[in-house]
Amino acid sequence: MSTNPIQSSNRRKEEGYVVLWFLLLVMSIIASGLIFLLYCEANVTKLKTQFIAMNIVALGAYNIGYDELDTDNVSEVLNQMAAMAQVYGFESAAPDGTNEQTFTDGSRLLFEHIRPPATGWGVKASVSIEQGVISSLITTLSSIKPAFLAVARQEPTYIEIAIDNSMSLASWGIEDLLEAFNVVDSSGGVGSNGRLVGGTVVPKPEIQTMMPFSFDEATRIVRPWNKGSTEWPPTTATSTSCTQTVESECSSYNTYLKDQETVLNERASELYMNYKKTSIFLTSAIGRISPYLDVVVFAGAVPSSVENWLESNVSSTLPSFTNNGVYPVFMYDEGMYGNYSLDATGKITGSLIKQYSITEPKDLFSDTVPVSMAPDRVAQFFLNFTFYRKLLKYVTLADSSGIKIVGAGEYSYVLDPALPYLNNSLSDDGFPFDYKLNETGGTYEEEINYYEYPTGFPSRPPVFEEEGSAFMTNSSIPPSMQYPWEFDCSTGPSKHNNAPLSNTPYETGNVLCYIQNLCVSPPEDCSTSLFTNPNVYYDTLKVKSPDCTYLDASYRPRCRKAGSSVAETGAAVICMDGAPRCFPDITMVPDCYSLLSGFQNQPPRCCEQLTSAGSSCLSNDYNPKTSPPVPQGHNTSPIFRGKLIFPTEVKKSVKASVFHFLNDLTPMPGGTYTQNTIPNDRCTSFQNEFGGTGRCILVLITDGRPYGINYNGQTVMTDSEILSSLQSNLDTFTAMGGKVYTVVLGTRTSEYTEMLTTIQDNWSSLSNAFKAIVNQYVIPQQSIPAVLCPVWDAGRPSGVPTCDTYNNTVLPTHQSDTSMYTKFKSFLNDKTNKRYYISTYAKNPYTGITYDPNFVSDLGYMLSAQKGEVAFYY
Amino acid sequence: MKGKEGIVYIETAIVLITLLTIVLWFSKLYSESLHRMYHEALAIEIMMGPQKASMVYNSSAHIFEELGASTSPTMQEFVDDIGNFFTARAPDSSYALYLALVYLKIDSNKGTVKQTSIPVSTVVYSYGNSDPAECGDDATYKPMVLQYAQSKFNTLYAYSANNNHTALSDSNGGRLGVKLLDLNIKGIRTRLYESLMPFVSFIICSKPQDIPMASVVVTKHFMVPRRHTADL
Repeated sequence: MSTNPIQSSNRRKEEGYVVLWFLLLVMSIIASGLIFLLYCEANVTKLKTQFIAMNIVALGAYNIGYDELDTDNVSEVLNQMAAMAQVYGFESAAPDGTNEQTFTDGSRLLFEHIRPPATGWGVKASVSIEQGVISSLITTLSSIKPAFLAVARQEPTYIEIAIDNSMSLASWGIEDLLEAFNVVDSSGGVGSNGRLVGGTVVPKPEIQTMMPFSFDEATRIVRPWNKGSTEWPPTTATSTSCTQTVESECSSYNTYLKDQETVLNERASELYMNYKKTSIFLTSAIGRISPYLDVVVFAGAVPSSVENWLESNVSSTLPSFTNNGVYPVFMYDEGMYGNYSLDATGKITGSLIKQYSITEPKDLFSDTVPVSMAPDRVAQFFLNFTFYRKLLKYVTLADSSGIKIVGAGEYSYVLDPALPYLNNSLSDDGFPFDYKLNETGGTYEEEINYYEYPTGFPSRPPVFEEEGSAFMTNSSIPPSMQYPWEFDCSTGPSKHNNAPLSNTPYETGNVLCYIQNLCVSPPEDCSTSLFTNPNVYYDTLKVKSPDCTYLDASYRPRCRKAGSSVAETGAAVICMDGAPRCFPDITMVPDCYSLLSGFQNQPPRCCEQLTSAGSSCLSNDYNPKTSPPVPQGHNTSPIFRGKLIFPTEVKKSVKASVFHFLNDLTPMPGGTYTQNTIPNDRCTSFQNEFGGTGRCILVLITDGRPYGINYNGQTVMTDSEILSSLQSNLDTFTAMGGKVYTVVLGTRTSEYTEMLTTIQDNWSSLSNAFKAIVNQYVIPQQSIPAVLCPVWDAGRPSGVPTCDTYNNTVLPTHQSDTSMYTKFKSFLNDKTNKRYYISTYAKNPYTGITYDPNFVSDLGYMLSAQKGEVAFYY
Repeated sequence: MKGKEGIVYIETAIVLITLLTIVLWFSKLYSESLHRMYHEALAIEIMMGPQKASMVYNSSAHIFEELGASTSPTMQEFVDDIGNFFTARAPDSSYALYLALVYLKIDSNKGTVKQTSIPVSTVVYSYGNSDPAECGDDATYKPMVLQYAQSKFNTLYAYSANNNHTALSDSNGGRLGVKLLDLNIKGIRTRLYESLMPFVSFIICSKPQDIPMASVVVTKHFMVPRRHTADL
């Protein structure tokens, strides 16, 4: 076998090809292997960036409601995201929510905290990891970018915070308030601003002026402290269909000149102040959970007259009013209205400025969107604290020489709300205060009075005003307030205080008679005592105010009820800073009247002086501030109440906020329609927006049982009807997955319990027969037999009701309330149906909220739980 | 000539063996890389998968607490949710998961990190492959989970500690806690944070199958749970 030279030659050639083929093969394998590897690594990197981005936003989402930047432009959300980025190797990641951060290896980060007006709340993180040149080439060719953008939000959650604002929260005592103003000390003794009168600690006159409700709303005359020392005791009700209950004030025909102590009890009692502080506290905290938030206050329905007035005076351009006892303060999807004016028919008209929606919810915490003061926001007429909050913050109380007695802001914490901490500077002032009656003139203000809405100040912000001056200037404050001298019955009505009042004894209802009459017990008949009392005073310099002679000499200023053509004999017209008012019942309408022609629907004029022709004002409208009277009494020395000094210039313009709205409210009479607060319709529409998903939460802050009475105390819904409605509404809410948190800070002590306390306090001095009745009938909550009533009535200590009252009112009311409260609580304390009932306390909120620390911890838990689960969006 | 032919054969054999080695080496790298990709994908799935609440509130003591044997959910229930999900989603039986729920202590008034040391008693749970020759080596992997978490906690602490805050300071720097309240009460800024911040530290281990030279693939992960306290 010989070797073929050709084959041998070929083999020699193949030897090289083997190596060559091998090299080619290896190269191709390595190349393809590398491509595969890099492709795979690119995917790994891509997935890593996704994991990193998701975790960064997951942590940031837990603080999604908090975006306040500090002076270094750092927010806590960004902090969390930056820290998490550092955890994943971005060692110098910074909490920068604006700029893309680039690292030395080329990796990049971008954080964003999404807040309204963008869709809802969210956090966003873009993570990009830099690769080598070849890797980049592969990823570019394969379109696998090692970058990821993650967005996280929390579960869509609708929350309604419903805050009880009913009268049952009032009249709980004012000890906390007295202590806050140092009238009493912490042990109940006389404080630095207190004095003993008849064994009772009362405020010194000067500090009394700085306390809330120191001025009468109608006359702007400083209120006396209590009936015992005053020229302004309550008037006798002239007529009333009102049934006095814990929920109705029955003030329609009672006096408007209540003493300050009474008004403080009615509007600033401890329980009510605690509720307000707590409601603001809770709104501040819970409002951070979700941008889909409604805040409502609830009490009872307004009188039909108010409803009718709204219907006939508010045009269809504005939202309609639902008279169900629930008053919206803030809605996440509401429309903002403004540009109010009167249309050709005299109706209030306005225009929609901005419509919020589920995709652009209104931000509770932004001062760029103030709380709406549209006409349907009826609760705005109860913002009676506004003036007094401003008073405490800006006014210096001085002696007659101008020397400071109480400095501006010294006691402002008493009425200031606990505001959420915001960097976009929710104004400490909240709510404008312009010295004017209202923006649209006086056309409808008289009707607003009809619902006990005295216009101007004190004490609430101008109607419909959402923005304005932080406070009034010293030059704009009426002298009756600047020089608040108090004149008691021994001195007679003050010249100063009477300056703005009519001096002309037009037929009936002479004002000065009424004033003086109130000092006399029993009341004098004004028609016979007219001008006979030497203490009655009027200012003869103001000769023609109020005046109707500009119409005809036969016309006289008279008062009528709104919508009525009957001249009221029990009221007279007065001039208040250029505007006619009816006294003492300011709900009436001042109008010009003649016996032949009746009312003319023309208000009396308030003129300094008439022209010689008597047809018009000689000078500007009557305004005592142009010539401030020197404070002096008619007879003897008045009581010095200090001198109020406002700043000379307005510091700044402020806007209204929900928190100040809640803070400045006073209780609303007319029942407690808790059953109407269950937000079934709102929850349904909310869930529909999210395709049937989304959580609904109701936070109910109340003092207990609902009341189905109206403004006049008449029952419009029985307890069983209310409970039935409440249960039905709650069950519907539960069926939608709704959760209810009920916060109860205390329940008004019943008259029955108070009676037992009084009996206990006097036990040692009671007769055995009386004690036997107590043990046998009262403590077991039974009626006292009629045969024993004489024994009871004869032996009862002071403050204990008569036998009849006990049997017919005190005991049945207590039993009814107890039964109702028990059922009410059973509905709302039902964990199976996700209804949580929290009963706790708040103490002395004026010095800063002091709660049961466990309550705050529990609230923290509730907030933590409601943050829900983080959801990712891509 | 025969000798030359032999050389060619030997060369060819060497070439083939080398080629095979290269291919196997690439397949090892590729399979390990593929597993790492699976790990990352699994980590994302865990991130998005079922999770119970990661801490509880003790309504008697009024404090936030770590999950334990008697809480609701229990620690076991929490990790089982993740572990069982992992087992169901794992591509094959070689996969193992080691995880621990660890808690960063937060100053509830300041929001800053208070304590980072992970207690030695912290239990690491394992799921899936328990073969000690592959991924079932508890002695190796369980401490690794805690060490990894500790290194992350150190980073978080360092971030937070770079600023020395008081509860009243308006500065936000270094505050990492989950905020519950932020109010201005009588001029004093009052903050409240959750006192715990839970994280899940986990290791995924797998062994590429049918690849002779492949070793176990281990990836470490540090995750933010999607839920803190349970919804009421």
